[in-house]
Amino acid sequence: MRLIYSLAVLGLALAAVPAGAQEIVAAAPVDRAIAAGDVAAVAVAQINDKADAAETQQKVDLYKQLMELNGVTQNIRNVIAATKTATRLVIIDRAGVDKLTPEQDARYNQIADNVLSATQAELIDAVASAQAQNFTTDEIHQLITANASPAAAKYNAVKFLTPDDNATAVQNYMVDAVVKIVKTWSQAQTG
Amino acid sequence: MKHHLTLCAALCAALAAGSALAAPAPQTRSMLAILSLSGPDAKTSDITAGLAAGQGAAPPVPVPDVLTRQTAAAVTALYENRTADQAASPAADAAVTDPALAERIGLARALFRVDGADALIRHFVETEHMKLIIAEVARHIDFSKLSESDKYRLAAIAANAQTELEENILNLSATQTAQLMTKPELLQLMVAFDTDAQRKLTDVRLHDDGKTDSLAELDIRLAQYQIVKQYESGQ
Repeated sequence: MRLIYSLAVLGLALAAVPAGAQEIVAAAPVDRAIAAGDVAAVAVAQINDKADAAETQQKVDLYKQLMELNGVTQNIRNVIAATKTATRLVIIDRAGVDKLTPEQDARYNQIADNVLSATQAELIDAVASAQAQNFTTDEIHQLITANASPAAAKYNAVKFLTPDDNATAVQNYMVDAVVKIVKTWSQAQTG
Repeated sequence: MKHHLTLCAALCAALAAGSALAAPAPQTRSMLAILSLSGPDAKTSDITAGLAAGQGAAPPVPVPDVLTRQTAAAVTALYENRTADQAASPAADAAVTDPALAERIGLARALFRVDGADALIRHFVETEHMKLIIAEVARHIDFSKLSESDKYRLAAIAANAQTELEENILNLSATQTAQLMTKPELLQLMVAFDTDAQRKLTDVRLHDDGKTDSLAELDIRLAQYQIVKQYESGQ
């Protein structure tokens, strides 16, 4: 299970792991007499491994349903959309133009959508793989049920309604906090 | 108490850094940080911070440059004897006159405690926002000149400000929730989210180690390079 997780998350490790597995098989003495029980045990272990892998994948898929409901996936989509916007600016900047022509824009959209849809799937998979392992299938079902009602859908949607207003408000609160600390401090020093 | 201690630790770390704190160029925490297309930064995940923890629940983190300008203006106004309220005055707690709305805001706050949003928001304020606030305070108060007891007093003042900030952000979210949801809906969710599974989810989010976030940031930067390369090589 751990192996599958790290494979999914660390694409880089992909190349190294199969090579390692190959070595272990090759290093086993081939001429040793093998008891029937050993073969059976290996076969059972393999079936169990497959069952584990299938169960893990099922949990990850179920967890993705939860992420869709509770806003985690929506948030990933927002990050992807922001990336698309920002990368368009990079391209405009590097080309030294003011804006893209409609043809260029269409081409940009096609390339960006193609690349970013894969990235989006990767990010969703990474979060699901990392977190699903903490829960039983039952627990994930419970969480899905809690988030499935119309009231919950409303509740989860409110979080995404006014991001700019919220950012401004939070920033003002933070300025207030700095002012308050400096003010209280200076009063304590002089008073 | 726990808050005081962690904050003290954060403050002490800032104090140890001393005047060097203001020296490094402030990092842009916005999505537009990716505009620079520079090499990936190994230690911070600016674009994707909080992604795994469910950023929907996390309060936004301002861009330090902007925050610095605003705090500088507000602190200057303070020393010019204008009231701080005038200098920086969000309608933080415009009195709620509608008693039904006030009741729903109270219910939303209770719901946040049940579903873990309360704990998550406080966690983000403590780990993200207070770091920025202490850096701003360091521009106006010279930490290197403080005695040991001064440092503890300042930490206590900052802890107080942290609690207020948490309350402000929680009330902001609660008000938005209360404006769009009915009392029966809020009560229904308080029951629906009151499960061990939900408490476990909150725990998982609070203890997120940031690894998924920083790997996600690599994925995004990689995607950007691919897009730029594909676009430019086809011209």
